[in-house]
Amino acid sequence: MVVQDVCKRCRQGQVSVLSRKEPFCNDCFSKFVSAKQRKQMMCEPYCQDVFKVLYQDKVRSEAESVEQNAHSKVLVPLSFGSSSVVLLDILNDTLTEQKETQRGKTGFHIDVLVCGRDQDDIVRYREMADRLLSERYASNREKIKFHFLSVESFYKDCGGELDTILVDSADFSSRSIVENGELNREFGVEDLLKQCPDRSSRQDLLTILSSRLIKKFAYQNKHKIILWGHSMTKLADETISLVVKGRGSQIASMLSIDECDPLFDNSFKNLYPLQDVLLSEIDAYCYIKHLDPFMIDYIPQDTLLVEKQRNPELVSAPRSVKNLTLNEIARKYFDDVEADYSNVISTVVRTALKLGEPETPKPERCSICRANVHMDPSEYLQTITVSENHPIETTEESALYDKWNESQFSNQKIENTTLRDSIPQKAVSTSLCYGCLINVNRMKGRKLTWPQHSKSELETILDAFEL
Amino acid sequence: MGQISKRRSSVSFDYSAMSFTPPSDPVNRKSEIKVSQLCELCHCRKALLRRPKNLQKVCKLCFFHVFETEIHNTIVSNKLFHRGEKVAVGASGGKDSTVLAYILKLLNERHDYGIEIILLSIDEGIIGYRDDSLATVKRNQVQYNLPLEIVSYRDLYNWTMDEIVACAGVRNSCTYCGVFRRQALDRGAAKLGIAHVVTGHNADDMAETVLMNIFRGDVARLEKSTAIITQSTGSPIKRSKPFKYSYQKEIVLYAHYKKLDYFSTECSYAPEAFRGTARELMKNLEMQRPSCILDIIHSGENLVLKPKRQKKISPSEVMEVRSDGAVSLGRPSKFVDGNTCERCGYLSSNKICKACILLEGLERNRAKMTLDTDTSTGGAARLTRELERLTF
Repeated sequence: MVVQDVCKRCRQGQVSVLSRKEPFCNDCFSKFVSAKQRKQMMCEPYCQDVFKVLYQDKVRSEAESVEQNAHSKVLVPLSFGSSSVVLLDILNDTLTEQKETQRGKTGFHIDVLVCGRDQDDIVRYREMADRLLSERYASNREKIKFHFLSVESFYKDCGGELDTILVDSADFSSRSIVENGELNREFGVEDLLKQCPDRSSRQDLLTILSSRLIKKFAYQNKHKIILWGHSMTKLADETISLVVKGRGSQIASMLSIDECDPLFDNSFKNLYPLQDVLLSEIDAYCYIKHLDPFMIDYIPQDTLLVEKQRNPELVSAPRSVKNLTLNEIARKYFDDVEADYSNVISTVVRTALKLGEPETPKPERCSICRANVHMDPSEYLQTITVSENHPIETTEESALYDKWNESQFSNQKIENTTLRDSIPQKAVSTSLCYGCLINVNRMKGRKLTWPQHSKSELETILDAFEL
Repeated sequence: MGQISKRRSSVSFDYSAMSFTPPSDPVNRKSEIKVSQLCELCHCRKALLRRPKNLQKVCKLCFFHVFETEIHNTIVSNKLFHRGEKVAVGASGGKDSTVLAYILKLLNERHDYGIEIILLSIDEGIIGYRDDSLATVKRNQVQYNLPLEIVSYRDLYNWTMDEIVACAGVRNSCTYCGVFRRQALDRGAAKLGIAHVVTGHNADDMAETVLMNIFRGDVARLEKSTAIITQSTGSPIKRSKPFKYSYQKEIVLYAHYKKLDYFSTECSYAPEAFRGTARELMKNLEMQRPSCILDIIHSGENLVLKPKRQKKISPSEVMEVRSDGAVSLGRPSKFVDGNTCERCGYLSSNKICKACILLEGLERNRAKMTLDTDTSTGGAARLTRELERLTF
C-alpha cells in the first residue's frame, strides 16, 4: 500500500496514523476516536440525560434540570492502562467543551476509582493521579475527583462473615461452611491467590473481586453509570475467555446496556464507551495526545503509527504459551489472525452484543460471582465425567489395594472425605455457577474462602414472600 | 546327563533340607509396584496413562471403564436410541467412526439397547485417500460383523470430488464436500430405510464449532451448534453425536489400547484455512486448561440470542413504492423448519438447497470435451501416491 502524504479526511494535515486502511492526520484521528466514544455515551436516553447539560423543557422544570445536572455522577475505574486513561481524557475534553459552549455549565461529574493490590501500588497511583490533575485536568479540577481503594477491602470491609466453599471430588456438589472468627479477621486477598493453581484462575478471581468492589462503590455513592475502559479488542478477548471458562451465559449480562445492573438494585448502568475502538487505535491515540507518560505498567503499542516510537521496551520477549492466562491466549489469537482476517475482532464483539440470557424461571445465584445459575453444574459434570473404577479382579490386585489402604495416600483421601463428613450439620449446600465450580475444583484442597453475601432487607423479604 | 541321574539314584540325598530358589531372571523381573504408581480410581493396578480430560492417573481397565460408561451415560441421559431402532453409523474408517462402531456394538450387547447397527460409508471419490479408508471400513465390517452400505458421490451427483476439485479448484473443496456429504448420508440412510444416523463428532469438534460460530458471527447456527440430536420436520432422518463429550485424545488412546484397526491419514485436499486458526487456538487453550473443551461446550449450550426488537414493518401485502420508483420485494420473513428444496426434495432453508446450487454451478463449468488419457482429474492424492512409489 502506498502511504499517502495528506490526510484523507481534511486533505491538509500530514498523515501520522494508518487505521482501518485509512490514512489520518493527528487531528482527524483524535476526532475519529473521541467521536466513537461520544457516540456510545449518547447511545440511549438514559445516558443522554446523564451526560448532556439539561435545561428546562417539556418534561422538567428549571429547578429539576439544575438538580439533575448536579446529580449526574459517573464512575470511571482507572487502571492506568491505555484504555482507561484515554477514556478519562476524552471525558475531560467533553467537560471542557461543555463549559465553553454551555456558558460554564456541565452535564456531569466524574469520580475516578483506582484499585491497588497493596499500599505501594496506591502510593504510585496517587502520585500519577496528582500529575494528571495538575498537568491535564487543571481546568476541570472541581469536576473530577480521584478515589483510591485497596483490593484488601474486599475481605476487610465485606461487613459479614466468611464462608469456605468446598467442592466434592466425587459428585462435584458444593457446600459452604461459615468460618470461625480467627480466619474472618486474618484472611486476605493474598491468601486467596495462594490457593490458586495458576495465573488464569488468579486473574479470574481478581476480575470478579475488583469488579464487585467497583460496582459496590458505585452503588454506595449513587453513581448513574460506570464507564468501563474496555476497548473492542479487550471485549473480544473477554468474550472468548468467558466462553472458554464455561461462563458463556454471562456474556449478555456483562454487556447489557438496555437495563441497569440487577445485582445492585438497578441503581446504575454499565457502559463501554470505547467498544467500537480497537486497542491498537487507543494506543496510537495515546502517543498522538502525549498520554504515554501517564501509564503505569503499560507501554502502548505503536503498530498504527507511521513514525514508530523506537522504544526498546516495546519489543517484549515472547512468552511461552504455558505461562499465558486464558485471556492472554485469546488476545494472542486475535493478534495473530488480525493480518489475515481483519474483521474477526469486531465480528466477535457484534456477536456478543446479540446474545441474551437463557430463560430460567427462578434461577439461583452463584455464591461466588453472583451470576445466575441456569443449570446445576454438578449434575452436568457427573454424567459426563465418571469416577467409578473397574472392579478388583485378581488376588494380586486386592493385595495392592490393601497396601494402598494402609499407606499415607489413602489417608490423604480419607482426610478429605472426613473433612466433608464431619461437618454435615454446619455445611449447607450452596449453588455455584459452572465457571466458579470449575475454578474451585482446581483450587488447593478444592476449597475457596469468600465473603458471605449479605442480603438487603428488601431481598430477604422478597425471598420469603414473593411468589 | 545319564551319569548324573545315575549318581542321584545311587546316592541318597535329603531334599527336604534344601528349599528351592528359582534363579533370578534379569529380563522378566517382576518389579515392585509403588503405592504412588497406582491408579487413582481403583488403587489396585498400576496407572498406565493420564486421562487427557482431567489428568487423572488411571490404569488401562479403569480407562476403558470410564470412557465406555461416559458414552453410555450420554446415550441414556439424552435418550438417543429406542428399542428396535435401526441405526446407521457414518463410517469413514477414521479413528472416531471406528471407535464409535466398536463401542456402539459393545454397549448394545452390554446394556441391551436392542438396536440394529449398520455401517454407512460415503465414497466421495478421492483417489489415494478415500479408497484406502474404505478398505479399512470393509475390514471393520468383517471384524465387527456388521452390515455395510457404501453410497458414492458418483452415483448420487455424477461427480467425484477429484473432478470437482479439477473444475472448481482446491480452495473450495471443503464447501462442496461438506454440503454433499450431509445429503449423501441422509440419502444412504433413506435407501436402507433407516431413520437415525450417528456420527463420530467428538468434544473437540463441538468446541471448535462453538468458537468458529462466534468468530464468524454465524448467529443462525450459534444456538443450535451444540445440540446432540438434530432433526427436522422436513426430514425423516435424525442425527446424533454420542461422542459429544468424548475427548479426541481419549478416542485415539482407546483405539490404540484396544488395538482397533483404523485409517489415520488426513484428507489430501487442503483443510479450510480459517478453521485451522481456531484449531491452533484450541490446542493452546487445552494445554493451559484441559477441562476447557467441556467448558466451551457448556458455554455453547447456554448461548442464546436476545429476542429481536420488533421493527415496524408494513404488512407484507402492501408494497411500498419509494420516491425513486423502487419497490421493496417481500423477503421470506423467517426460517421455516421443515422447508424442502424445490428440485430435489431435500431439506433446505431456502427455495433451492445448497447442493443443487453448487451442482448447477459445477455443471455450467464442466469441460465439454475430455482427453482419452487425461489423468488431471485423478486428484492430488493419486499423484502423491505415485510419487511415493517411485524409486531410483
